[in-house]
Amino acid sequence: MRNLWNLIVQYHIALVFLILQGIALTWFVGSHGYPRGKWVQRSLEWQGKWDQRMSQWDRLTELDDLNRELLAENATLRAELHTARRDGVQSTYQGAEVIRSTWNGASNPFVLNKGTAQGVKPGLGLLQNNRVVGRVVEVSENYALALPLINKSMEWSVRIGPTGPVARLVWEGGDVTRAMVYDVPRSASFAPGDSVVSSGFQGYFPSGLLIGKVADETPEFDGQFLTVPVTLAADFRAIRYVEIATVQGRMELDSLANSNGQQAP
Amino acid sequence: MNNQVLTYGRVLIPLVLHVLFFQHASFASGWWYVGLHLLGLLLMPLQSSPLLLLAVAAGFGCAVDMATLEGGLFMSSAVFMAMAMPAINRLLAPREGYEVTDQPTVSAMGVQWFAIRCLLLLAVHHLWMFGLEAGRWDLIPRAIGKAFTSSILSTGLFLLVLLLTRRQRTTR
Repeated sequence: MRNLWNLIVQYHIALVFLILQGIALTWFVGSHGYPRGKWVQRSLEWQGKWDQRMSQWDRLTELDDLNRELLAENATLRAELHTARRDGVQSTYQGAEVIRSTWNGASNPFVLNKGTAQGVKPGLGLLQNNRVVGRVVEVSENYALALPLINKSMEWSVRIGPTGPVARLVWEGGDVTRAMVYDVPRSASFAPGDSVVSSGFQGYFPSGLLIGKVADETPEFDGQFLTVPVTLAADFRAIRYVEIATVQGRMELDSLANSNGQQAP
Repeated sequence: MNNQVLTYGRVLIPLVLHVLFFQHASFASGWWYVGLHLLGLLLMPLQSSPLLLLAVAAGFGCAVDMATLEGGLFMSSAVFMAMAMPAINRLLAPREGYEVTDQPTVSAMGVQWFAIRCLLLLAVHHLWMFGLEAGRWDLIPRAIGKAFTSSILSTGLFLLVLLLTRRQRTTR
């Protein structure tokens, strides 16, 4: 016992280092790319207030007010359009301002100025002019934390073309304009410039929304499936306003899928 | 008393400024990351015990992680840098050792000493941070590149900040 104590005393700095690294790395692995929980909600509320105050400095022009009005109008018109089309899955939209965003890291979370008080919930999809941007992962009363397509730990269910096979879109880091679509069958026919759209299977977005276009590069072949490079449609370096999409009946669809233990690819 | 306040201020002000205003100070597509809170850690007194360095680094990293929602990335990197700090201080020590009154600033130790120490410690921090963030072997060369460009440019920036804010010595 005394030897153990002596050992601890002798190497106490290394021990403290290992303990602190253990805590930090557990936190990092546990939350990186998908930050959830109480600490995120508290930080979000505090940071949101501060970021909102900071962004007010940028809102000293009339153009900003005009942007807001147009955003709200766009959201209303889009909802009416979907209702008029009588889509299988209906959606409602509301505008939100991005008060904080990054695009240099691996997770690139951004903060929106809408929260539970405005009906925002985790899992809702985000669009920018009908192009898929990301989804909400955590919400406080007045702010929401969202993860964009350019997040290394997220996968998105997509189609190449409106009737193509369903595949997985993953951002691999680095270039924010480029992602990869995995598990595309060899038999699929597509060409550079073809649209890559949401499948609607994950329930965050309606189907058929533009995500990107097939890049003019040769797809990789792993012996079974193709991996297709895609140029993303949304400009993540210039996002200021987004629309939050609520897919109607999502709860019902989720519970149906969960009861069978199924998930979208 | 005044010196103590100055020391605490030197350490804490960069952290506060980083959390409030410069959280996303990253330029050239992420090739230059400015971690202003690291300047606070670099200005911790030379006589600080390794345990205190680790504790302060963990606290600083934790505060930045909470603010940026990065979950442990900055804490881990800051702790790693704090662990390397005593060894690098010993490596750069003058032959007769440090004086009790020596401070790790440009005005006390000179531009060359500060620049080398700052570059080495920032390189340790950034290599760990960008390496962890990369998460994949094929992104490691890019992470190393980012670590070196960020370390060099941040060293220049920190030097400039310290030169612009140093107190003029009064002469009789």
